[in-house]
Amino acid sequence: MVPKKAPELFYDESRFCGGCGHGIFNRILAEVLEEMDIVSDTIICSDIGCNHQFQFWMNVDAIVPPHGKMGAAITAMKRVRPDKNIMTIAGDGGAYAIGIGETTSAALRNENVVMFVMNNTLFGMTGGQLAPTTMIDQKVASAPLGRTVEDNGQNTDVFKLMGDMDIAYLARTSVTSPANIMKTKKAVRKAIEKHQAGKGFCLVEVLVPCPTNWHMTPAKSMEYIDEVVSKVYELGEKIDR
Amino acid sequence: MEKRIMKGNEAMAEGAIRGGCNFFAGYPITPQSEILEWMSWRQKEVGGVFIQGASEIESVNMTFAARCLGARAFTSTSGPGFSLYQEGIAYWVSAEIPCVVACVQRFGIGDGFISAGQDNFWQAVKCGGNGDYHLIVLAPNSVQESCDMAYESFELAEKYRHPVLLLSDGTIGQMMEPVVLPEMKKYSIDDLDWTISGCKPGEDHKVATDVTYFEPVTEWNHKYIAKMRKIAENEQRWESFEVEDADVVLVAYGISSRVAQEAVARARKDGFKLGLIRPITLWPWPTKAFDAIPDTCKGIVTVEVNMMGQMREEVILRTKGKFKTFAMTVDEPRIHTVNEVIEYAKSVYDGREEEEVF
Repeated sequence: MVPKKAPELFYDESRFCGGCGHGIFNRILAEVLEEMDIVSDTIICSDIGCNHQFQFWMNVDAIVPPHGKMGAAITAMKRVRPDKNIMTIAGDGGAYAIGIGETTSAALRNENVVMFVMNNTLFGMTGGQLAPTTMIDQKVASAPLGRTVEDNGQNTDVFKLMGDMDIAYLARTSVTSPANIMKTKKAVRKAIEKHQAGKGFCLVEVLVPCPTNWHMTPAKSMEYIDEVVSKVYELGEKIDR
Repeated sequence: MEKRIMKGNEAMAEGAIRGGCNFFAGYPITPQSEILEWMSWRQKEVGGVFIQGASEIESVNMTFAARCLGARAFTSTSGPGFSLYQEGIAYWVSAEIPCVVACVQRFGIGDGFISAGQDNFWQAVKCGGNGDYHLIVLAPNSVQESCDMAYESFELAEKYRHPVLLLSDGTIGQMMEPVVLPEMKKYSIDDLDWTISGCKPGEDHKVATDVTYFEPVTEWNHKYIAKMRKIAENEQRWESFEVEDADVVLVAYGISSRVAQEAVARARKDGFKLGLIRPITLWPWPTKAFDAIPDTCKGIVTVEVNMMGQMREEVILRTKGKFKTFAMTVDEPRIHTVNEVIEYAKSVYDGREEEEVF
């Protein structure tokens, strides 16, 4: 067996919490960028939240607009430098709460950009508050008795939001097992390949664990995704054009 | 030399284009929409990018992103649109991304009125977003200046890596005057070394962000404050008219300065020693201009198209209250007449006005 080396573009250790899914995704994306040999032709738009820390260990060019404004920023980035691969690593709070307008209008325009959205069902960096993706009955810091439709409204499922839109790619994956990690990697590569082919808007949502705010062990968090989260948020490719 | 009759808004848009602007994002709002419309076809002609954002919030952040990647990016708005811009502008400052923004002012609070006004002074000049900053604020008072200031704005912003605000108003934006258009400047998105274009093998990556993440915070802050001091010292611009012996000195920018200038000319004909300081930069404030006011001056009068005399506070602050200071304001969206200005100044001279600060 050949030992697998960490991607060269990592210049420092990850400082995500133990068991966090963001680190797994950083590794997946870094591998894809190196395998496709496109690091120098890629510019990542950061969200603000836990996800934005990739810039502290990934040697890839990036910009950081205000929280949630990635849909607008990547639109402009691609128009200014159409020869570059333009993508964002977003959180579910940034992409679907404060940035839902920007995310949706980029999708409605079918901009040729890629959004990777980390769905951990809450606001991680600020201490685990309610996100649009918080599930009914899920207990979070700002809905301590659990989300209810009466108090908090329905939860957001991007498949329902974008399922009928004229976009190029809409998929949801998870990182709970080697098989699921490979599926995520495949979806990431597919989105970037569609982007390079000018197909239009691509969004890959990745179900990731947040053991810190879920108050679970890393292993238990993975089980929770398999048994609960991915039952609410269906895995698979919803749109593939 | 190309001479045309144009609206102030159009001249500003064309001045920006000729200054190398190759990106524009904006959202329709009166009285600035001509800038947006001009850019929609003109950017195509020059090979630039035009995007009508779905909101002001989209537009301001598109401008940031485009500038980060090297484009000379410009956006324009007015009134409540400028309020929506403030978060985005604070990010431009903290990341040292030298975008250019125009605010074609209107009158009133919130939605307010679409007619001409000068209601954004506090927001534009003091600091509209969170944190310690002032933008470099240029205030045109003619169609020619609307063009010229937009033309030079990118190089000024790039010189300090600090955003420039063109603070126009509905009258300057909508009125037509002859304008001499300057030559096209050459600019490519690869011209500047700080822009984000993809990390080449063997290089350290670049991140356009609040730079304190990548540098010791006190070091960055010292550099930043030194930069703000340098701008404050070096970039003050103003025009003075008959200030040296004036009994009353008017202070006015934009459309109000056109009225005030005429008031000075007419008052002087009648033997009333009126003077005028027209700040061209509202920040840095032209403090040096106020050194010329004689000690015998009976009062300073700001002439403003707003209700509370926003600029008056600036004058009091910058002259350290040395002179009695009044604001000539309006309670409806209209510009003062020349006669009203002269009458008010006489009333100040006679000691019939009360000082007031809200």
